[in-house]
Parts: sequence; structure tokens; C-alpha cells
Amino acid sequence: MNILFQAIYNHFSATTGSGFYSDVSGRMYPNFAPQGATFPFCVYFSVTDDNDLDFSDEREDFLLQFNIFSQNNSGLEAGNLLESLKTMFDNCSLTVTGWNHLQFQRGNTYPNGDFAQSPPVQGYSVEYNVLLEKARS
Amino acid sequence: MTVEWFGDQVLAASKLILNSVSKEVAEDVMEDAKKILKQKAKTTTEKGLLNQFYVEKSKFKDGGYVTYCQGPKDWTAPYHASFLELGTFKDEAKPFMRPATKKNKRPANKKYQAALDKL
Repeated sequence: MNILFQAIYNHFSATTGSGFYSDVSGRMYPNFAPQGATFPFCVYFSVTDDNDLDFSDEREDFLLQFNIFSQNNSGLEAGNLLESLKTMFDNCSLTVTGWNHLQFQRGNTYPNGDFAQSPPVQGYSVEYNVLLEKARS
Repeated sequence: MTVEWFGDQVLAASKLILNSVSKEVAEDVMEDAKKILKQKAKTTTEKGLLNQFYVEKSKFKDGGYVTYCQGPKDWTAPYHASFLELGTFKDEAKPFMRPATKKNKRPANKKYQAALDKL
């Protein structure tokens, strides 16, 4: 759903001087990162989109995932990224054209690093449950 | 006055039924996960995961069943099911377990309800 992705990006880029945007230097990519992307960066994508939640297709229930990666011998940067991601997105309020945004709730967080790299890639995968309801005119 | 208490039998019967439905649901999740993976898998290695699914009784105190892909009892190298599910810093995610689980949430509720209605 492009408008949700757009709304997430708008929320992300609304504050550029500090917080998560600044921590990843604006590098947040939909679906996958370009080859050789500079660290640190973030990738966000939809894991599931379930539109039969409540008897009609007027609601959309998404499971979104944010992957954050840092290449660093220390896990501190990845940990800080995780915290600033949470600060930015936990229970955030999005503006999604044509939809009422009901919920943006964090779910599971999984470590997602690659210690075979040198320096090691450290990261996390963070799930968010997102609920939208079609705006009625 | 005599009071006959069948609570223990009812509880035992419910547990038996719920256990059997849990297994059925776990198998449904496994079949759907395989279907999703089949669509998304591109490489031989990714397709190789299709032979590494299984369902097993959970070790949790309250029981239930777990659907595994490359679980501890059946996996062959390279280990990459979780990389595919979650994505990595260089590879796009191709989730298959979580979509299958979510797809089966409502049907599972209906199955449990139908089984309990038969009690």
C-alpha cells in the first residue's frame, strides 16, 4: 500500500535535524536497500496485509517490519538506532490520505546481525502492527 | 442429595479436542507457509527449504503445536530460513511463516469453536 509507505516516509522525514532521521542520515529504504548502501541504514516493508479483519474490506491490518543495520565493532550504534526508531514510531500518528490511522503498535524485536562481516554488521528487525480504517465521507 | 460432578471429564475431553485442533492448525500453517515460500523462492537453496518443514508438539507447559522450518531437529546447511523470513542487510526479506500464521488466525478460531461446539 503505497500511501501507507508514503505516510511512514513523511513521518520519518518530518524531523531531519535530530532523532532517527539524523541517526541513519536519511537512509530509510522501502522493501530493500540498494546494493552497497552506506551504513547505518533502515529498510521497511510490509510482512502481511490482511483486509478481512472486520467483516468488510474497510479496514487494513498490516504487519510492518523495520530492519536497522550498522556496521561497527560495537553494538552501541545499533542499540541507539533501535531506541531512536522506537522513539519515532512507537504509537506514532500518521497522516494516510483517505484513511483514518488507528494504531501503530510495536510487536516483536529480533536481533539481525551478520558477525561474519568485518567489521560485523549489527542490527535489529522490529515489527509494528498497523491498523487503518477507510475514511468515510 | 447427590451432586454429580463431571467437570474433570469435560476438562479432559476439551483438552483432547483442543490438542487435536492445535495440531491441525499447525499443519495448515505449514501447508500455507510452503505455498507462500514456493511462490517467493527463486534459488535452489531457497527452494530447498520446502523439504525442511515439520510440526511438533510444543514443550510449553500449556501444550500446543509448533510449525518449524529448519527447526532444531531437521535442517541441512546452509541455515538461512530466518534470513529469508526477516531479510538481511544485503538480501530482501521474503516472509513466509508470519503471513501463513496470520492467514490462519481466523480459520483457527472457527475450527476451535466448531470443535468445542461438538462437546
